[in-house]
Amino acid sequence: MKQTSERIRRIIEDSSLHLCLECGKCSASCPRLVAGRQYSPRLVAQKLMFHPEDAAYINNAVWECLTCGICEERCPSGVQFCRFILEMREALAEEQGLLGYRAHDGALHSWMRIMTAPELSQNRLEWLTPDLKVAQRGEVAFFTGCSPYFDVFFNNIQVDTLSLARDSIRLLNRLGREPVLLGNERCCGHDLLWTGDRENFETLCRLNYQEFRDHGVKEVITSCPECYLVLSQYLPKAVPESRLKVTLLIDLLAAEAQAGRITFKPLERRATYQDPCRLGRMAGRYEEPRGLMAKVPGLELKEMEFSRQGALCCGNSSFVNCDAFSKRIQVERLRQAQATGADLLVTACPKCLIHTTCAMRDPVKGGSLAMEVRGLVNILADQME
Amino acid sequence: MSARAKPAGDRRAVLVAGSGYGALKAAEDLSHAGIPVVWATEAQHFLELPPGVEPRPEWPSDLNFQFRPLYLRVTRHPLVTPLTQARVLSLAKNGDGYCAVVEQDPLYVDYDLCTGCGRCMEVCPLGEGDHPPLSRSPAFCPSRSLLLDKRQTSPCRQACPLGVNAQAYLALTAAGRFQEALAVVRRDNPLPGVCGRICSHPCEQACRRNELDEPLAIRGVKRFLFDYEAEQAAASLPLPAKPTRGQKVAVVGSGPAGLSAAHFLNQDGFQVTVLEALAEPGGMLRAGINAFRLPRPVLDAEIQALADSGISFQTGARVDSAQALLAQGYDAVLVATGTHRDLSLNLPGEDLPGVRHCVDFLRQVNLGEGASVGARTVVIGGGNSAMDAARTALRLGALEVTVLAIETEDQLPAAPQEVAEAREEGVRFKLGFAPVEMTGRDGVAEVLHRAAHWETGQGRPPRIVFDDDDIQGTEADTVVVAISQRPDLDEGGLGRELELGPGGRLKVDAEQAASVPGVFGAGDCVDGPSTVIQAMAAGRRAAARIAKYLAGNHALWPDQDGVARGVGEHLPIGEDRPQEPRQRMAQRQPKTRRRDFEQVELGFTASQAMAEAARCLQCASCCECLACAEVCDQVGAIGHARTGRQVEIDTPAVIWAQGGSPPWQGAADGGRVFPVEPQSYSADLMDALMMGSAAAGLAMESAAQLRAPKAPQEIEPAFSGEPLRMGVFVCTCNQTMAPAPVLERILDLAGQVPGVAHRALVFSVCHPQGAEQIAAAVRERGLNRVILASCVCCPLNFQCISCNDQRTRARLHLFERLGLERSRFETINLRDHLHPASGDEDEMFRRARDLLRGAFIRSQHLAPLRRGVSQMDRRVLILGGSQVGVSAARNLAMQGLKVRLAHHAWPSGEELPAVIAARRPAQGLEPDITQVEAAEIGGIEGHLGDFTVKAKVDGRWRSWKADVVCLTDENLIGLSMYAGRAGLKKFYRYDFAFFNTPQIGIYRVMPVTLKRVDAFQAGAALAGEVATAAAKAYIQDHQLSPEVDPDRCRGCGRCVEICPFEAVGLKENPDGSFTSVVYRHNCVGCGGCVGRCPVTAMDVPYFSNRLLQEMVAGRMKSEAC
Repeated sequence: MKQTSERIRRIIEDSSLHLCLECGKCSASCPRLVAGRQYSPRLVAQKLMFHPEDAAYINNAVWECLTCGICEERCPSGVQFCRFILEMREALAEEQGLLGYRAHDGALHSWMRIMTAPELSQNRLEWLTPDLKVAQRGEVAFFTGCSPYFDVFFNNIQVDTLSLARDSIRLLNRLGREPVLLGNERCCGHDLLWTGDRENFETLCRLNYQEFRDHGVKEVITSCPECYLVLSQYLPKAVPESRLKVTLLIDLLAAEAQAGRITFKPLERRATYQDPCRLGRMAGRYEEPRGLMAKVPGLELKEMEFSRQGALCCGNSSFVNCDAFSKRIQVERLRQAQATGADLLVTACPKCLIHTTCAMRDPVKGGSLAMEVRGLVNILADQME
Repeated sequence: MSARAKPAGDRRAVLVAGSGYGALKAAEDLSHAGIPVVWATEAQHFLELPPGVEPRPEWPSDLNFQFRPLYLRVTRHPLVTPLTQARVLSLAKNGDGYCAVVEQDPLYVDYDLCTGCGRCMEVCPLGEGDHPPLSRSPAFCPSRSLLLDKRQTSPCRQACPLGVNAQAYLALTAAGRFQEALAVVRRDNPLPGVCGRICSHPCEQACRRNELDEPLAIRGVKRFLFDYEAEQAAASLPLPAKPTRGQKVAVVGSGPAGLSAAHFLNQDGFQVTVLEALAEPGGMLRAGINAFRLPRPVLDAEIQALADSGISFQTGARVDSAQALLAQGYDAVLVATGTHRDLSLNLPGEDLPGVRHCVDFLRQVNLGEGASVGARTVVIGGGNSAMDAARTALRLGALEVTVLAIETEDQLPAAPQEVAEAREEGVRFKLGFAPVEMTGRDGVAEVLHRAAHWETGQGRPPRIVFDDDDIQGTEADTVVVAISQRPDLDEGGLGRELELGPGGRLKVDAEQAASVPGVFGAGDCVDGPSTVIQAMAAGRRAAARIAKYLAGNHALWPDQDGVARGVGEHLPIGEDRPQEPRQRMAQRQPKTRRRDFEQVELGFTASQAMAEAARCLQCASCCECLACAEVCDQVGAIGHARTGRQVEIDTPAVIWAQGGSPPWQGAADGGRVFPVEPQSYSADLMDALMMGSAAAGLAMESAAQLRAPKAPQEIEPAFSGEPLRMGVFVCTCNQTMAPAPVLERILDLAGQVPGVAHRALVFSVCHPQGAEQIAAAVRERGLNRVILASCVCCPLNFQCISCNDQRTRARLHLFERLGLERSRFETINLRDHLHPASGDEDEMFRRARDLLRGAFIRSQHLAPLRRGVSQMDRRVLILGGSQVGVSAARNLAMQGLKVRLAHHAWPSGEELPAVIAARRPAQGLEPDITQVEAAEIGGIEGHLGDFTVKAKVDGRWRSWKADVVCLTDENLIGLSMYAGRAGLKKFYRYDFAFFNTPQIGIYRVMPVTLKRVDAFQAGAALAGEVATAAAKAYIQDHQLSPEVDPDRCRGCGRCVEICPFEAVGLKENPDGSFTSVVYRHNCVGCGGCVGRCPVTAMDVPYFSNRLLQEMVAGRMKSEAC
């Protein structure tokens, strides 16, 4: 117990929770509270520091957070609430087992855990079409992420996250690059990391690193903000010997477009853009996607009521806690998107794509929320010259 | 006690006669509509096709599995009394209905008790033969219960005066189980060694092998069994435990009758003293029978065994007064003194020296009193005693022995074998002669005789008729007169006290009682000279009477005379059964053996005995060795002595599903006899089912008054906050689940689990007493969770296609009869997973441990099952006045339901088809049917028990309320159909519900139905189906109907999309969001919605999502396991 409280004390300090002023800005901006759930980051902080005996409340609250990070943006004291949640989940999981409830009966987390098997054999490159040029060997690899799995699992809502991978390769080819694709790449582990499963997360990191090392890969390009976040920030902590260079595809594209090495055909559409939490608030990429969209002639970007640092969550992260309140957040966000008058919703994260699509595809009453949702790389690849 | 009440005497119910799918459907409809049913079939199982019907190739191969759930639902329905192997004896008109008498054959294996453990099959000595008497139920019967083929008692056993079960000991001998075989002999016969040598073996005369070749050497096998035990010096198998009684019985005489009576009285607990006048016990066995036929060590050993079992023997104790014995403190006296006085020929010269009388002669020889014979000996008489005397004379040194007898060779009363052996040894026979005189001076010298024969006639004693006057003579130095004996009572004291009858025989009444109270008589002194076996039977008979006299204990040893049970003729002698001669017993050579008194026959070897026993035809199939009953002792399913029964039923209507016509008593009146013709099986199985449904519907018209609706008792269990007190019960399945050490290890393991407050082995969970043991422990120890490790796979209230009768029975006992709370039980099917045949105990334990581990985890996720009950109002709306509709309306009205009938109906936006428009509304309907001529139907809303139908009648919209809606015109079928209802067909497949629609409570008639039966029958069938829902008065929610967590539900509607039963809908919240709701009346508990929900917002109370997540998350470890 002493050990536990010592660990929690360190978490409180590391995430600056002790600096909380109880101003309540976090709660006021928390999408869960806005959606009607009695949920307050402020209260979690206070309970943990001053009423740790109320373990039931604390545990529930720790698992309920969406980790969208909007509270951190609003916090005047610089409390790192997402880091706090992440480390608390790890601590609680070690003590009590993996709690919280996983959407889809935990199937996605199960497959992620399945990928920790060292002898795993995957068939994950079947989506490659002959027009895509990839190298057998080389120092630069493209990290596909979980798209091959998502499209199977979510076939009933007809998402096409693999198009993000195909269009990423197409764009790289257009830039004259032929990346290596690793046949035994694993999940980056983002969802395990954020749901407290540190052990399996680290296993995935090690296995991925071994795969990179065994193939002589020195640089990894990815279009997924979650993969980017994990590979660039968390993998080096789990695998200290890693010297991997991690590149976000839109960074690369932004630079190339700036330099005029890639141009786009016109697209006469009015679009709006959903900032993914892992790309915006956690990686600070607000302008790069907007800059790229601006390079597409005719594409008019209409910002939603809340955007950039204040963007509303797509409703869910890491496939936990999807519930009635997530749905209300999604409905609210899609209404905001519709209110812009745009007929195209652009996002840069496969999860945003899945979650917004899911809400639109509800068999009952889903139709009223429907609008076209596309990944940023889909648009860029389609329009590239 | 069994799961259902046995029919006791007369009862009111609808009689369904016959088997097959149609009968099953009829019984289902009736019972599910609340009407009691007696279902009687001559077949062994209810799905046996009616006579003359063959399975058809187009029937699905998994047909029997499809019918399993229905079979169980019907045969275990509380309103159904299922009688197999039962026939309708008579059917007589009785008021508006009938009186039926049904006779059921004895059920040697009780279907309600048999656990199917199979131990009986393992111990059956005939299990490996061509015709094993025990067999598993046929595939279509979802029970592991066994069937016992017990034919009419075998002729050998019937022929034996003692009823010794020869068939059984032959069967056991053939299987090499000699000790058990001998124990079977001893059950009825305390002197197997004696009878194995000198019995007159009436069994062999009766043996059916005579029809094929030669009879079994039954006596020889019996002798082998005794000798085998003696040679192996093996301890005899113990006799059954005996009670202890204080009363004393004196048995006067130690011959076969006395010994037998003493033995059986002793076995019944009486203090028995045998009083023998001679110096050694045995009576005629010792004094009259030669040592070369019955060696003295054998006799001594058998008497010693009797003495060891508690009988006291007093020798040299001649009894002159029975009353004196009573005065000495004996509570009863049995006189069994035999016939020890020779009869005389009363011929001249009979008093000459050298003329001896047989009994006297043999006694002198046998008791070593010194006897001699002359060189030429003539024995007069043709019985076994005469043969004994003749052969004894040889052994005493006679050079020439002649038997003189009136009878011809065929008529000789002596056993042919005795005659043959005597002849082999050199005895000469002068047959067909009667002695006339014995002549001689100092002693006898010659026997004069004339050719003669016996003349027998009606009502006259036989007399000798001399055939000619030619007197011949046979020279003789010694003559032995061996022409029968008589009792020796009249000269002694006993004759003065007790009334005697003809021939000086003791006079007894039907209860074997002599003229002095407390004195009984048995054996030859009562019956005259007979055989050993007959005397023993008489002894046992008297013992039973004495036991009755002293203890009021009647029929201890049922009189075996003419005992016969079993059903049906003896097993036929197969045409392929080869002829095989009987084993010949080794004998010493005549020239050697005639010189001494050593045993003549040497007995069978073990292989001979087994080979001989294997020749047995096993006439009765079941040999009643009782090995099966012994292993089934605790379960008590096997009862060899069961008898059949007759049930009288007062039935308003009869469903006749077996072809032919009922056995009418009095005038035939088939007005309310509804057939399910065997011909209906000729095309499509569904035709037969539909016929059954139609017959049930027709029967319901007059049977409705038998309904007694009862509100289901539902107690909401409180689950939360109670400390865990778990009980673990492991079924041993009558000791076949696993070896005892494995079960002990399993129990030990359970004891280490936290929260386990009680653990116990149960001999059989599906047995009433096994279930009672569990119920008592649950109540006494306040257990709030129970893990039941047996064959029961799930504790739920339904049967799936792999369910069976034993599982169903266990649940019925525990949850219905004993009222335990179903939702507190978790079950594991050890039976099908331990594989005890493998013999690997560690592996068995590992398997059990894994299963238990899962059960421990699951038991923590048990939750109350859904238990809602709604009342029904019996309102039926019939849309469409087709013949079907009218027939259904009239039927339902007669059943007392409130019927509204719309003759012409059409959905809004459609036209009424011209065919229907042209149809004239039916006339003359029952006045209590509300009729509407034409109605436009705007829509149907609601659920079973509460439908609202929008109908426009005479230009005005109305709301009709109904519990059930029937659509009986083709133009209305659309009102019941929904798009995209995959899986529905499969769901209804096992229900054979012809009229059901996706919406429970809405029924429709498809055109194909009218190809199977006529419209009138279809209407009746529809009415029957409707009644199963509408007549119940109460409907219960499905126990697995899911609950919705409103905080989780995203209101996406995927549950609504997938449900084929319109059982899930969306409710709009004030903020415009949606939450799904389950319409419990429509829900069938399939769980489709639960699986479909992306966010686990719906869950079922059993095998919940939460549990599945636990399992996937790998938290299945229980620390103790």
